[in-house]
Amino acid sequence: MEYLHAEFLVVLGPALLTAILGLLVNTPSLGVSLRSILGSREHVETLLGLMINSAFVGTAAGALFGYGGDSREAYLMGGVVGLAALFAVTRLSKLSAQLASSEAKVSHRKMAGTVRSIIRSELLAANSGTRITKPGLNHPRKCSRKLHCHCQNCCGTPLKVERPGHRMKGKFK
Amino acid sequence: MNPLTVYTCLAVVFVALALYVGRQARIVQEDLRKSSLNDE
Repeated sequence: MEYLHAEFLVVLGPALLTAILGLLVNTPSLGVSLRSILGSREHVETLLGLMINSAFVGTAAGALFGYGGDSREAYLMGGVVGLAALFAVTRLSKLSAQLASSEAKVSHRKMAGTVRSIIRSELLAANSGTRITKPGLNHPRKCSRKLHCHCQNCCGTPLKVERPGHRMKGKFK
Repeated sequence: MNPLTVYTCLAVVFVALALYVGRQARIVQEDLRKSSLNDE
C-alpha cells in the first residue's frame, strides 16, 4: 500500500517555494491592482463568493484524492486549503462590512449636503422675497398698490396685479 | 502527470493566493479605518 506521496513535493519544492515567495512579496503592480479591486464592495463580494466556492471544491478534492489514493498528504492539503480559504473569507467579510459602513457614511453626507443646499436656497429666496420651489407664484416684494394675497398657495407678499383665483385684501384700484 | 501532483500544485498556489488576498484585505481595511477616523 502506497501510503506517502512526499516525493513529488521534494521535486516540486523549489518551484512551489518560488511561487509562494513571488505572491507573498509585496510586488507594487500586483498589490496596487489588487487594492483597487478590494476598494469596491461589489468586487469584494465577488471575491468572497469565489473564495467560498474554492474552499468547498478544494476541500472536497483533497478528501477525494486522500480517500482514493490513500494519501495523508491529500487530506492535509485539503485541510490547509480549507483553513486558508477560511482566513481569506474572514478578512474579506470584515473588509466588506467596513466598505458598507463607509459607503453609508458617504451617502449620508451627500444627502445632508443636498438638504443643506435646499435650505440655503430657500433662505436666500425668503430674504430676497421670491420663492423658488413654487414657480408661477413669484411675487415682487414691493408694491405701490399695497394689495396682499391671502390664499393658501401664496406667501402673503404683496401683488402688483390682481390674479384670478387669488383672494385679495383691499381694493385693487 | 499524477492528478494528485496537479492537485497539490493548485492547492499550494491557492493557499498562497488566499494568504496574499487576506493580507491585502487587512491593509485596505486599516486604510479605510484610518481615513474614516481622520474624517471624524
